[in-house]
Amino acid sequence: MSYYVIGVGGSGARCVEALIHLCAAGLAPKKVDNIKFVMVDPDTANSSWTRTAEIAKTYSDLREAPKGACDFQRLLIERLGSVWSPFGESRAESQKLEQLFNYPALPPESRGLFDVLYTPQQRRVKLDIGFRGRPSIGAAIFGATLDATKAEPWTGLVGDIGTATAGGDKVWVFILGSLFGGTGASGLPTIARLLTSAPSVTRASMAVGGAFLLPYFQFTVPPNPGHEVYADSLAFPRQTRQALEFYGLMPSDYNRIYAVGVDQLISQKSFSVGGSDQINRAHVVELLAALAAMDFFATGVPGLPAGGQCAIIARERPREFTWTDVPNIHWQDGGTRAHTLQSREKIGQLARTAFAYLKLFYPHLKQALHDAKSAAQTPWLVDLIKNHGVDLNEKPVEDTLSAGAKLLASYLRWLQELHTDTSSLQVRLADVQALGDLTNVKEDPSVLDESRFSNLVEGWKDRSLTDVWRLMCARRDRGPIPRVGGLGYFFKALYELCG
Amino acid sequence: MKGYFFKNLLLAVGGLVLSAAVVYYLLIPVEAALLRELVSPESGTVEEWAADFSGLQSWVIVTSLVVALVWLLVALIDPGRHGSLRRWWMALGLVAVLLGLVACIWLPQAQSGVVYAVLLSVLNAALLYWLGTAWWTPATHKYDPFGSQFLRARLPW
Repeated sequence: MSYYVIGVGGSGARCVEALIHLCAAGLAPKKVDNIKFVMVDPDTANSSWTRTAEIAKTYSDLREAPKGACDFQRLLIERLGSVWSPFGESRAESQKLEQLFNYPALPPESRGLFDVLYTPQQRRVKLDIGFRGRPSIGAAIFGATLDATKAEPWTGLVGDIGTATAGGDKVWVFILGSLFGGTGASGLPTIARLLTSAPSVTRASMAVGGAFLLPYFQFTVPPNPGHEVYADSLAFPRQTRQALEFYGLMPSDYNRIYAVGVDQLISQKSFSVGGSDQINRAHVVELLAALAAMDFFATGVPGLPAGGQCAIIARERPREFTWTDVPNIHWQDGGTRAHTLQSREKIGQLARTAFAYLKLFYPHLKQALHDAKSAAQTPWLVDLIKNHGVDLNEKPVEDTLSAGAKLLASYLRWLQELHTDTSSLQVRLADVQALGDLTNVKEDPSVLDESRFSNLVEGWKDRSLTDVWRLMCARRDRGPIPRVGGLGYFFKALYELCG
Repeated sequence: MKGYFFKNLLLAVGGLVLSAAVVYYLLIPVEAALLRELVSPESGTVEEWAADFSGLQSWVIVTSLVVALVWLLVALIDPGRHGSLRRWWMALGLVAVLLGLVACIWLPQAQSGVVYAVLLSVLNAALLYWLGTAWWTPATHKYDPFGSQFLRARLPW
């Protein structure tokens, strides 16, 4: 069985980031042991993708180095290529719609049609930083450039899916993106069509799902935005409605669609047309979209889309988002044995692990790298690290410990960002007062408030950090544990004691 | 966490009593027999002198037990997050040894060989303190006593 995730546009990038965090938290169904993801964005410098790619790399580094049995080491996440842009290798600042379609050389009637569809400003706007919230521009470009026979990662992706489905293997593809912007709205239908219509793919063995993000943020456009064409959040609801009508009227290539949104939009503080300036904070909608992917992998059925069913879930309280609003992942083995992954327990366990590691254990490990004497008397350092053949003076060990800190810090930051906007929606998943400014938490763990550790996860009171330390000292894994080696013993113990 | 404290306290107290029993029932009779060969009492028989020595060692065992118990309680309460307490362990060990030495004041007079009795008394105090703490110190400070890593690697818990 193969699982693919495709993130389209900036929102797609942040959904993939959420998905990686959920994989790290152990919310992927047991049958999923490998997820490959593709990044799609004309704005290849989009900071959301940079962040997602970095987290994916750190995740892989941590998974590979210490053999471990933790949830955050179980799944293999592979990135297929770098960010794919419809402008391909020729991406340049001068890319414009009329150049791409060779507007001056078009026959008069085609040029006339072009004039009806696009304003002169839209025809001439530089597209290197995306479609600027205009799906009409994006759809034309995706339609003209998306080709499974010409460019990676599509050639490889379609080839892999074709080979797998021809051999009777089942394939799940999940596409995430926003319906209200430019890139997502134009990429979501075209990419699904590309994959399902490829001659080499056996459709009956493939399931295609999508998380379509409805408007969830807004921003104020300054009086002089500095560009003629730019995304305008006032147009988001209208564009979303048009897009939903498209999916309602046209035959869909999707087996299942998850439409995820909120009634209160958050306000992004800064306006940016795109590029590395475009920094949007994580949002619970992205968390829900990533959970939708997990649900689809758990319960999606390959074959031609059947249609007909519509399920709706909503928040329990009007202006609050709590754990009761976060769905769990359910599935059945062969239709008989039921399984459930509890979202709060899994997300909370990794949050507590991250806090404990960054606040207490990582600083000790760093000190032990330079002070062998103290390391020789700290029980967990001896029993869970030294006695399993790990030499703290080795560079790869230091790198792994650093990767652990990086991944767990990014996880805490993501969790914190989910709570950032308090004006429209009160998110109550974790006590973010315990976290402080996480920018430099790897070097300065004092920003983490230890007194709040026991209640870090809302509605879940657990042992204190000192108690975790005590139990780590008491912990001894006698004899080898299958699939665990080196630093994996340490991470396993810490993760289990934070659960 | 109640389980952690209860288990460690039980192991500490039980282990100390066991260590004391080993010293009292196995070591001291051997030492008394040895001293019968080495000591010439000023008055009375050598058997009486050895019996007095054995009685005095009961006091040495009690004082060492108390000192070791103090250490075990300190180790149980302190989580060890701010580093090792090895210096405290050594200081308490010195107290146990000094108390063993002080006990020698009450040794009966002898013409010769009393130095062996003093040495054995100090040895008993140090040995009991070391055995009791190296094996039974609670988890957070279990490797503070010298040699504890070697000993505890052979324990089933």
